[in-house]
Amino acid sequence: MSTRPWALVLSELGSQTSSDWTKDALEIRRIIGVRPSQETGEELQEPVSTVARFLCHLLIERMPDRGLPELCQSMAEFFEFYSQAPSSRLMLPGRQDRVQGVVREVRSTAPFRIPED
Amino acid sequence: MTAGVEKYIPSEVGKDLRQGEILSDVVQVRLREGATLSGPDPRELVEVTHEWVIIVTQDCDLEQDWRARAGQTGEDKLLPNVLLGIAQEAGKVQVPGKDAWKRLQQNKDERYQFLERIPPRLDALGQGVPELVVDFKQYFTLPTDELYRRVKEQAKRRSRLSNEYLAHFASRFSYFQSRVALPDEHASQ
Repeated sequence: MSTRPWALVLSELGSQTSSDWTKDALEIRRIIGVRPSQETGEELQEPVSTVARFLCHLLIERMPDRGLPELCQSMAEFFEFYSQAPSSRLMLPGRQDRVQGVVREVRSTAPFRIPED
Repeated sequence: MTAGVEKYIPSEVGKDLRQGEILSDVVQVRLREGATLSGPDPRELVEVTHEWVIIVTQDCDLEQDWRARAGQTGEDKLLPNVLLGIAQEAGKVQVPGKDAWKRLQQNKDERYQFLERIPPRLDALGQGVPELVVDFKQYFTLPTDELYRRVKEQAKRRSRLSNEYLAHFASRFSYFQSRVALPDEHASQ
């Protein structure tokens, strides 16, 4: 396993073109993007998600050994959080029931009365 | 204070609603007092027409909501309601005396915001807006989608407060809402 400094790894990532990323992503997707339990016809993962997975694998592959315990711990916490989170929308809308209404009164804003004190 | 500073910017119809934007003829539909709250009978409603209102909802929230409605950002940015402060033409406000009026007109009364008249060139309708008084105790909300529909069809977008004048208004409103209720005033010997 390579143990090059982070700056070198990041500069290498930055020098890749979008075309390289797409090719790499497609390649990686073939390897890791399909879950073993995925059935035929099931929707494939979004390209953005696939690229993110690819990047994560790339970074993990190049992570110095001394960082791995911390990395595993963090990933376990992320996994636990996101596998339990219902969705990105934290507040769900309330129940809606349609009811009939009839306007019985039409009026305008009541006049402001400034109190003395 | 610098003379000739523009305190208002004309509303931009077709764009997002803005904090400090003044609207006219906004209708609020609410349940009539004593109306049944459940059951098969139709709910009795009241339509209240507010001649003037000012948008209090935070500007960046309105901008994000607008982008969410256009599908440019996540649905979690949608605002279910917009907070509106009720305003009234200054000439129609019933004041107890000259001193109270002077305090209000100089924005020294924490409960009210006085807004100077808007010249026709800074009013999106070109009519001008009279001097207004906003009462920080009088506000309501409208569902955001309903308000966007209303400003397309019947309510009118007029003008909005610019820079420091918006900050002044927003700061005074939030101060009034966050004031601390004391059980008794400090006694003076």
